[in-house]
Formats: sequence, C-alpha cells, structure tokens
Amino acid sequence: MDAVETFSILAREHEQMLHAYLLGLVGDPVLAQDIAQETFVKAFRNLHNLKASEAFPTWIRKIARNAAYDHHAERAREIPTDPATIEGMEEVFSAFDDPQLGDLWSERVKRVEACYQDLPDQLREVSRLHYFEERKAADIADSLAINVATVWKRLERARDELRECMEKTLALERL
Amino acid sequence: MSCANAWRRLSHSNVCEEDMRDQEHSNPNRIRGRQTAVDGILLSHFGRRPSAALEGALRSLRATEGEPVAGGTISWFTWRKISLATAATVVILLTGLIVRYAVEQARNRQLTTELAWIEQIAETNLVVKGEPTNAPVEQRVLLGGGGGPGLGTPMIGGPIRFGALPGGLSAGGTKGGRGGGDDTAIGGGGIVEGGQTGRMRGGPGGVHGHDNGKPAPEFGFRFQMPDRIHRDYRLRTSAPDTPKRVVLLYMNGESVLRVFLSPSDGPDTPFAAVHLKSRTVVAGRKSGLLIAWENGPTEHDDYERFAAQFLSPIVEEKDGNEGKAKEGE
Repeated sequence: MDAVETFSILAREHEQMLHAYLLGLVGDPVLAQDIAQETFVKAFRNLHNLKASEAFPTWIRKIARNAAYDHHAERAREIPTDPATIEGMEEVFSAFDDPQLGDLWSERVKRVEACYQDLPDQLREVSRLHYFEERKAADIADSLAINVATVWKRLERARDELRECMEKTLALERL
Repeated sequence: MSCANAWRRLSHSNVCEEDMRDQEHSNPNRIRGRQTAVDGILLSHFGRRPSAALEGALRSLRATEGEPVAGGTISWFTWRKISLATAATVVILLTGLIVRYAVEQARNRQLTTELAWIEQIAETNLVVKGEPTNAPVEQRVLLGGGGGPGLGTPMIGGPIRFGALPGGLSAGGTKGGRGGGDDTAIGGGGIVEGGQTGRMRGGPGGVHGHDNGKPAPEFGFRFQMPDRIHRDYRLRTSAPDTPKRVVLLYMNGESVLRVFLSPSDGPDTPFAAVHLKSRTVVAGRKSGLLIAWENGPTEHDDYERFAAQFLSPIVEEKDGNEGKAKEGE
C-alpha cells in the first residue's frame, strides 16, 4: 500500500471532524472546503513532523487553523485568533476525539442529535431551519413571523443549551 | 484547608490554581470558542454538507506525488524518472527534427540553386509541337563527351528548337553513320547501340537539328532516355543546348511531362518537392545526376523508381559492381 493510500485511510477517519472544525472557524462552507483540501495536502507532506506523542486530530486541526489564517483575505467573517477562543474550540473537539464515543466521527456526534431533540420547541424549530435547511436569519424570521433579532437570540440559546447538553453527555469535566 | 490557603502556602500567591482554572474556563473567549466549535459541529452534522475536500486532496497528491489516480503502484520517484525520461526524449526528438529541418532546408537551397537553370528556360522553349515519335520502346543511353564516330540514326521526330542532343539516337538494331540530317533529327555524335544493353559509344556532337548549323553540345555526363515512361508518356523531344543540362519532354495526348537532368556532385538525396520561383518540381540527386520533373508521379513511393529510369545503366552498374562496369566498357 502506498503512502497516499495509507494517508487517505487516516484522513478519511477525520475528514468530517475537520469539516466541522473549519465550518466553525471560518463559517463559509466553500472556503472551509478549500482550506480542508489544502490542509490534507499539507498534512501529507508534513507527516514526518508528526510526533509520536501528538494526536493526529489535534495536529491536523492545527494545520487547518494555520491554513485558515493564510486565507484571511477570503474569510467570510473574522476568524478567531484569540488563544482562549481557540482553546475553547479545542476542548470541544478534543472531547469528541475520544474513541470511546465511537469509531467514527458520525457516531460520536450522534449524541448531539439527542441533545437537539431535547431542545424546547421554539429553539429546535429555529435550529432546524438554520442548521438543517441552511436558511438565513431573515428568511427564518419571515417564516416564523418574528424579527431577526429574535432569531439570533433563539439560535444563541439553542447553541448554549446544546453545548451544556453535550457537556453532560460527554462528561466533559473541563467544559 | 481551602484551596486558596493551600495555594498561598505553596506559592506565596494570593490566587489559587483552581480559582485560576475556573477563571480561565469562564473566560468569555473560551466560551465563545466552545460555542464556535458546537456551531461548526451542528453545521457539519445537520447541514449534511458533502465534503469533497479529501478526494480533491488525494487527487492532487496522486498527481503530484506520482501516484496514478486509479491507484497504481508507481512510486513518486519512478514517476519522476519517467517524466524526466519523457522530457529528455522530447528534447532529443525536437533536436532531431530541428536538425533534420535545417539539413532539408540546406538541401533544398542547394537543389534550388542547382535547378535555377530550369527557371531560366522560357516556357515557350519547353513546348513541343508535332507528332509523337514512333521510336520503338527500348532503352536508349546517351553518353556525353566526345569520342567515337556516330553510329546512330536519329529517330525521334518533331522539331528540336533549342539544340539537339549530342549523340544520335539509334533505333533498335539500326546502326548508321553520323547523326541525322534534318530538323527532326536528334543528331550528334552520341550513339546508342540498338537493342537492350544501351552501351554508349559516343561521338562528337553533330550539327543536326540545330539552328544555324551551330554545333550541338557534347554532354559530359551519362543518363538514360527511355522512350516511354510513367503513364504511357512518350518521349517527344529534348532541350536545351548545353552539355551540362538536358530537358526531356514526354507527352501523352496534350499532357506534357518534363524531366530535367544535369550532373551534380554530392551525396544522393531523397526526392522531394522543391519550390522554385515560378514552378514546383520534384527533385533529388542520385548517382551524381540531378533529376527533376514536372507533372510526374506525385506519390513518394514512386519517386525512386521513376528517377531510376534516367540513370545510366553504366552508372548504376558502377554503383553496384565497378568491375563489371569496366568490363562493360
């Protein structure tokens, strides 16, 4: 088996995680995909720099973050550079790196679905429209006959509740 | 002991490590980071956006790292070697083509120079009138250059307007004295023995067939003048009046085929189209004879065979077996 093939197995395992990480980081799905592609290429070419003690997911997220900073001109929104923010992101993703939660990323994040189902109706509806149907806040506001500020507020509350739910579910002591 | 007291004892600091950790964890930026992470997970998980990033990266890696997209076993180094070898081959081929082009250009320039005389012949000089010859179909050989009495009887009909070929042409089996004596004669000193051998005996150029009694030139080179050639063209006449050049005109009905012959030093060259100022001919050098023609065969495969008809058998014999040639003489 050649090096690229071996790398592809490893990378495929973390592809969705990286996608989620970059979506959170840059917000723009197209830019996230471009950066993800660049990240995989860089990761392959720098595999020799991966220390044995270093976890691959943490290492590749670092490469992705640096690649995102290189794309600052194309960013759709401010990419967080503050160390505390980055650490906060890292805490969540590190928690999901735990193989005890499942072999695949999709299995691990299934817990998020349970948390989503537990959301109050109002928050779940706004979340559905935003995350499932990828509708913009103004559009959601029209659909639900509420103002845009309310949409943003509900989305923020939904995220907070989901985060808290995940803290409990994943028993993330540090969160 | 409280955390704060314990920490003070150990570090003489007023801040407990736990307190620090708590403060750190409640840092708004850190919380924002967690929210950002959750947001990304939700967008990715619920949005179900297919990510083609990895496939794109793998394609890129396979292309640049030497792996075939289909998943072969060629290493990057092998791929690089193949690329270098291919590049080297391309360079060599291109160099070869450039050299070949330059050689062909040089050859064409030389041929063009040597064929300049064709341009100098007025078109009218190359037109013949009269009836086609009834000369028997047989090989006739002209050998230029003095020597020997003329034995041939001119047989090729039609007026010869620009000098006769030196050397009378002998019909098969006919042997005679000096070359013919009227305007229709291709007369001169050169004699061809009748029959098939075409051995030349030569002779001084006669005055026959030439205007104003001007002596016909003597040829300093050997060539052969077949009566019938390609597509049943028949020999009609020849021109001009110089010992170093000859034009043979063949006709088939109204169609005229011209062959230009002249001695030429240098190695044999392939026959190819040569573009002169006013005309395009197929030309090449063979056994010291520059052979060019108009309206002849157009297929490359036929060139050599067509040209060979004008080579003296003696010359060819020399090429093949010099001893026999000497013996023949």
